Amino acid sequence: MRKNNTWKRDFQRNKYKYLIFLPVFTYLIVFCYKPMYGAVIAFQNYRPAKGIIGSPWVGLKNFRDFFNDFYFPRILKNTLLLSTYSILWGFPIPIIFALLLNEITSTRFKRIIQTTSYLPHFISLVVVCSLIKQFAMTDGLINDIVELLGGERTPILQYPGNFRTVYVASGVWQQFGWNSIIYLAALSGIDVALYEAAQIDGASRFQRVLHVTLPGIAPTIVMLLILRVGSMLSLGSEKVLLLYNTATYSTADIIATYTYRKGLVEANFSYGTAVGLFNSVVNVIFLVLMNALSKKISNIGLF
Amino acid sequence: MKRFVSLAIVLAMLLMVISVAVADDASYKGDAFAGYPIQTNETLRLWTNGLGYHSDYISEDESPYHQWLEEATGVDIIWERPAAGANATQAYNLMIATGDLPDIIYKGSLPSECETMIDDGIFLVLDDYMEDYAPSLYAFLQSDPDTTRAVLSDSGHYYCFPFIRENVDWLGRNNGPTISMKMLEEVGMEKPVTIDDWDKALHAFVELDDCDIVLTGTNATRPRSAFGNAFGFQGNARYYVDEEGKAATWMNAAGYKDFLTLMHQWYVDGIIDPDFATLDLMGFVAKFVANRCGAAVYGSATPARFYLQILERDGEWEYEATQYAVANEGDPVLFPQGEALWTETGAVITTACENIGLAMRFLDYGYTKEGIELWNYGKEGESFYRDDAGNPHVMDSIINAEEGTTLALSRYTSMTGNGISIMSIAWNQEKQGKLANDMVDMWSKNAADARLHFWPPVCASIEENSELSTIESAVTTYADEMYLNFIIGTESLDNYDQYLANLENLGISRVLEIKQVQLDRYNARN
Repeated sequence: MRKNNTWKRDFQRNKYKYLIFLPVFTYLIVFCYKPMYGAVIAFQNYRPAKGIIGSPWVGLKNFRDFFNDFYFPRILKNTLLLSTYSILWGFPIPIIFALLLNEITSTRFKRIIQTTSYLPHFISLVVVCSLIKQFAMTDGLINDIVELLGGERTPILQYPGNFRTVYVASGVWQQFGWNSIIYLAALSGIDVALYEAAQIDGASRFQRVLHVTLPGIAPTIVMLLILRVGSMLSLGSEKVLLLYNTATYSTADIIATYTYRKGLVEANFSYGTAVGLFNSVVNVIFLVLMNALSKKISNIGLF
Repeated sequence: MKRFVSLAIVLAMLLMVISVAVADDASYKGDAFAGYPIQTNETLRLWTNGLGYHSDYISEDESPYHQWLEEATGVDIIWERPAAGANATQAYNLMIATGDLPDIIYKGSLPSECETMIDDGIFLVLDDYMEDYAPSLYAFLQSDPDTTRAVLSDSGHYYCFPFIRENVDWLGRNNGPTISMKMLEEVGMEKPVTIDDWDKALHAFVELDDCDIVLTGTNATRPRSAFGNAFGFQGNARYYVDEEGKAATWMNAAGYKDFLTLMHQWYVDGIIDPDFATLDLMGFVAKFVANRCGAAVYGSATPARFYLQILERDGEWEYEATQYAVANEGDPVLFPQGEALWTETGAVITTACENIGLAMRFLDYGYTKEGIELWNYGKEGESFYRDDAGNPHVMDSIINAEEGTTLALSRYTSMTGNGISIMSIAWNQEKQGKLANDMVDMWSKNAADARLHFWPPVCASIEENSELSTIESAVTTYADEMYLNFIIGTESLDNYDQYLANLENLGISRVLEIKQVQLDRYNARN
């Protein structure tokens, strides 16, 4: 009886909030949950003409093909490493940038820096990769700088050892400004009184950052980190496809690009779905683990 | 009562008028054919990702050649396309999956799926209708048994209206080696014919001061494509038919090791562009313009991109195409870049089509004399004129158009890509211009027998595709990687036998077995 009462009251009090939530809820159900039954084609040999019910059942064959593929260990390793490095470098830098920006007193200067920092985000990926390829050539800009600093000219994108650096560095350059926006927003939510209190207590600038600012945006940081980790295996193929070549396959070939090349033989829906399902399952495991870890360490978690 | 009667009379009259109007819609049946344009109100739905219109126009209604086609055939076409930016393969598969089939589908890669599509009841088998409703195409195919074999399904069924090139030996050749005549003069050599000539010439170029890059190409596979022939294998395509008529691949060809040895030597000696692994078309164009190159491997359409800039830079165009390098003087060129008899592109009629006769008559138009002219040249007086002998010629205003010949032509024809007709070689030569024509002539030199060795448009069964998709990508990934590793030197050529053993373990024999089965089925078609 009591339960009914609280729900009723909650609905009456918040009915407009529920109303606003309704379209989003419908979207989730229709586009995210309902299509999940389609994952069953990962266990079939799906032929579009036969439909899901008519296609023959093959059990775990698609998964076995995927795991037994000669290159499976390599593409898995490359995907994980590329994701990890992207997070390792790409995650702290926007935070540090936001913190530094926060310390700037001149608002005009601050705004100029902020705007220029997120301009790269709007450049199309194809254009950015085109530029990178040009600059990385033996007679390109990057080699000019290397020569100036006393080094030798090399075709940068030809060496597998350079691929991850180029990929992560260009990714950080392109996204750090945009990604810092949310931290700047979170920073503005920290009570000024806390800063003043810290100042009175004799905290230096750096100590203020450490003990007031960081804890203040900690929930935001943790939330974004968990979400980021939850998409580790789903590394998209577009950027890698644009930057890699057969000479760098050993570090650049990831699950998405290998499957893409494989799919050129025929439109193998079942195989693609099996790979996607594997990615999703592993991502969920990472997500849950990360969440549990962060809850243990700092009591903050997504769920 | 009176009101009821009058109402009934009015309704009856209305019904009569409507039924007469509906009955008037003369439903065209293919046998009541009285020549083009066909008198009919019926429309056909045509789905394609090709047959595009110039970007100036918003839809096919404004595009000249689409309108001319509909006028000339008398049939209104509802053009259906995948959404702009959408993945065409996905859109196609989605359309098949949802079951909302159009009347006609125009697409490529038909042989790889024709058997499954016919079995699944999507593509219509045209055997019974060919002679009656597609006389022009039928007559053409009867006159050319090799092409007929290429466009039938493995089970011997007619199922499509193919895009054919009039002279595929010439029209299919569009890539090959070129060399700087000026630099050859400077080092006192003739145009290279054998691979040894090339070796000497390129080494001589290295010594020249003003030669920045000795050998480059539009992508990393170009050296293999240009010089594979000299070592007895086809370097441009993944599979080919070897001299004994067997399915073969460059990955484990007999001459591949010697080829790699030479290329590695060239790389170490500074002949091959150090960036060649990372090049693509735009990168190549930028490099070619910024550096003076000794030799390069590119397509007949590529010079258009930088011809004027090179003229500005050097004052002259010093590059000429050479024939494909051979092992010994006088050898025929068996493995150049080229195309098989059919590009695997064509129009199919789906089982959802209700008026098969109309669809076939519409598609057959492209193979009549007037149809070939329309598809290639457009409309007389608007996009082409006739000379005294009655032969069509593209108007000069189009060839010299500001936006470039190819773009201007794309308003009046789809043949800048492909179409449901036969591409005319005369038209293509006019469109390409002398420079490109000379290049293709050179690349076709001594290559008359090459047509026997291109991998033909074989059909694949579902089991074959499924087995291939498991092994093929691992094999090709490994081979592609090792190709570059051997040339650059990351992998020593002493390990070549290990490379062959690895290919075996990955299943290359099984791949070639399957390919052989497909080839045998193709040859058995009639």
